[in-house]
Amino acid sequence: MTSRLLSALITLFGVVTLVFFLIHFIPGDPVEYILGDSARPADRNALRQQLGLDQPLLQQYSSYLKNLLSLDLGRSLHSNQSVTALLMEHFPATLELALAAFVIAVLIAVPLGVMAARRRGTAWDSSAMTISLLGVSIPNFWLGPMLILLFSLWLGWTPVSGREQAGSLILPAITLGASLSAVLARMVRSTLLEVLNEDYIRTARAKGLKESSVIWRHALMNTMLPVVTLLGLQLGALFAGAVITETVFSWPGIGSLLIESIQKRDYPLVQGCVLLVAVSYLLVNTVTDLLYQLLDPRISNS
Amino acid sequence: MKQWLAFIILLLWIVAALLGALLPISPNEIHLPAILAAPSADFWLGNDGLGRSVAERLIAGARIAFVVAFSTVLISALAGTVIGAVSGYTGGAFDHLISRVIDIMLAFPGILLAIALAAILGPGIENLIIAISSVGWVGYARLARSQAMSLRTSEHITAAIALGSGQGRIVFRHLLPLMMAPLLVEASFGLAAVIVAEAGLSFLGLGVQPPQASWGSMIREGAGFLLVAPHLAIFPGIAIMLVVLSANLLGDWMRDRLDVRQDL
Repeated sequence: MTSRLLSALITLFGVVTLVFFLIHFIPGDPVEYILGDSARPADRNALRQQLGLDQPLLQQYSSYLKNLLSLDLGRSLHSNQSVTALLMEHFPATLELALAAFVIAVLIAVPLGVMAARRRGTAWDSSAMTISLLGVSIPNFWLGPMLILLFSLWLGWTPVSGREQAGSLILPAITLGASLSAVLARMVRSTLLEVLNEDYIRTARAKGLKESSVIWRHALMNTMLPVVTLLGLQLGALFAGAVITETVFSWPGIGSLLIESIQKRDYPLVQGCVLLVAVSYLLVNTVTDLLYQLLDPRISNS
Repeated sequence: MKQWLAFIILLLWIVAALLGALLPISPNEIHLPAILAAPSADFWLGNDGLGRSVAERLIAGARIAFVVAFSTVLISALAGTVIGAVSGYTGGAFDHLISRVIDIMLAFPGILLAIALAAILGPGIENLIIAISSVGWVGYARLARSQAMSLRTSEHITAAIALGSGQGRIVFRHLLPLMMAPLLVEASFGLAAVIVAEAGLSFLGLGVQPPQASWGSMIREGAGFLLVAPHLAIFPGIAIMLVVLSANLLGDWMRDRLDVRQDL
C-alpha cells in the first residue's frame, strides 16, 4: 500500500515536471508567440518578467513547484484572473459531464454485455459486438454533431449546446460515454463467459436456481473486479475525452477552457488546465489501484 | 468476410491517398454558385460553405490522414520498440529510468498530451506528426520492454551470448524478430488511434490549417452548417468511421491469426 502511494507520488512529481517543461522547452520564445512580431521591446520584457522567463530555468522550476504547493498557478494573461479560481469555476461542469457519461456507459454496457454472453454465438451476440465495435470506431467529435443534428435540430428534443437548459447534459454525456460503454460491453461479455464455466455456476444451476438469478446474482457479481478496474482507469480517460466533447457542445468545463486558452495563447491557463486534467487522471487511477487491492487481497500479497 | 471488407476499405483509402495527387481534382477551388449545394451530378457529395467540392476534399483529406497515420505509426513503433527492447534486455539503471518515463507518460492521458504539444508546437502536418508520435511511442515501448524481459533468458539468447554475439546483434537479430507479432497487432490498433487523433486535433483547429482539407477540419467546418447542409459533417465522419473500423478489424484479425494474447 505505501509503496503504491509512494510510486504514485513519484509519478505525480513526474507529471508536474513534464507539464513545466512542456511550456519551457519548446522551440522558440513564448513571448514572441504571445505578442507577435510587432510588439515593442518594453512590452516583451514586461511580459517576460511577468511570466518569470527572465530567471534561470532551475529557479523558474523551483518557484513553479513552490507556487504549486500553495495552489498558485499564476494569472491568466487574458483576463488577469487567478488561474486556480478559473479552474475551480470550470471543474464542476467537467466532473458532472464525466460522471454522467460514466453512468450512461454502465447502463448501456452491462445489459448489452450480459445479453451477448447469454446468447453467445447467436445473431444477438454478434450484433451486440458489432455495435460495440462501432462504438469504439466512431470518434466523439463526429458522434456529437450527429446527435445534435438528430435530437436537437430535427426532433427538437434536446438543447443544442451550453449547460443552462434542462436536458442539456444528455447529449454530451452520451457522446462522451459511447466509447467507454463499447469497451465495457466487450469486457463484461468476455469476463462473464469465463465465469459461466466455473463450478459454482454449475452448482447454482444444479440446485435449480432461476437462470436470471444465476446470471445477475452469482455470475455478474464475480465479474465486478476486472470491470471495476476498467471503469476506474476509464473514468480518468473520460476527463481527457471531455476536452473534445465539451468543445462540440460548448459545455463550460475545463476542456472548453483549455481550447479557448490555447486559441488565446494564454500559457499559464493552458498549463493549469493540462495540470488539472492530468492530476485528476492520475488520482483516479491511483484510487482504483488501491480499491482493487482492497477488493481482492490476493493482489497485494503476490 | 468481415476482414475482407476491412481490407478493401483500407486499400481504397490508400489508393485514394496515393493516387489522389494524380487525379485532376482541385479540392480548394471555390465554386460560388454551388455554395452549400446538396449532392449533384457535378459534385457527387455536394459543396461546402465556400462552394468547394466535398468529394474532392475527402480525397485530399485521405492523403493527409494517410501521411500522418503512416509516418506517426512508423516513427512511434520504431522508436518505442528499440527503446523498449534495449531497456528490457539490458536492464539496470537505464531500464529503471525508461520504465519510470513510461510510467509517467502513461499516467498522462494521451490525447491531452497530444493536444498540449500540438498547441505549443503550432499547427501543420509535421508538428502534428511530432505531437502524436511523442505520445504514441510509449505503448510500443512498454510492449517491447516486457517482451524483451521475458525473452532475454530464453535458450537461443543464451546460445547467442555463448557464441560471442554483441548486445546490439542480439537485440536486433535475435530479439526483435521474435517480437514482431504483438507489435504488428499493436500497430494496427495504433493506426486506428492515430487517425482519430489527427482528425481530433484538426477538429480542434490544432492540426492542418485551412484551406488544406483534413477529415477532422471538414467536420469542424460542417458542424457550423448542420441544419442547412448536414452532408458537410456527415461524409467526412463516415470516411473516418470506415477507415478506423477497418483498422480495428485488421487488428482483431491479426491478433487471432498471429495468436497474440493481449491483456486488458
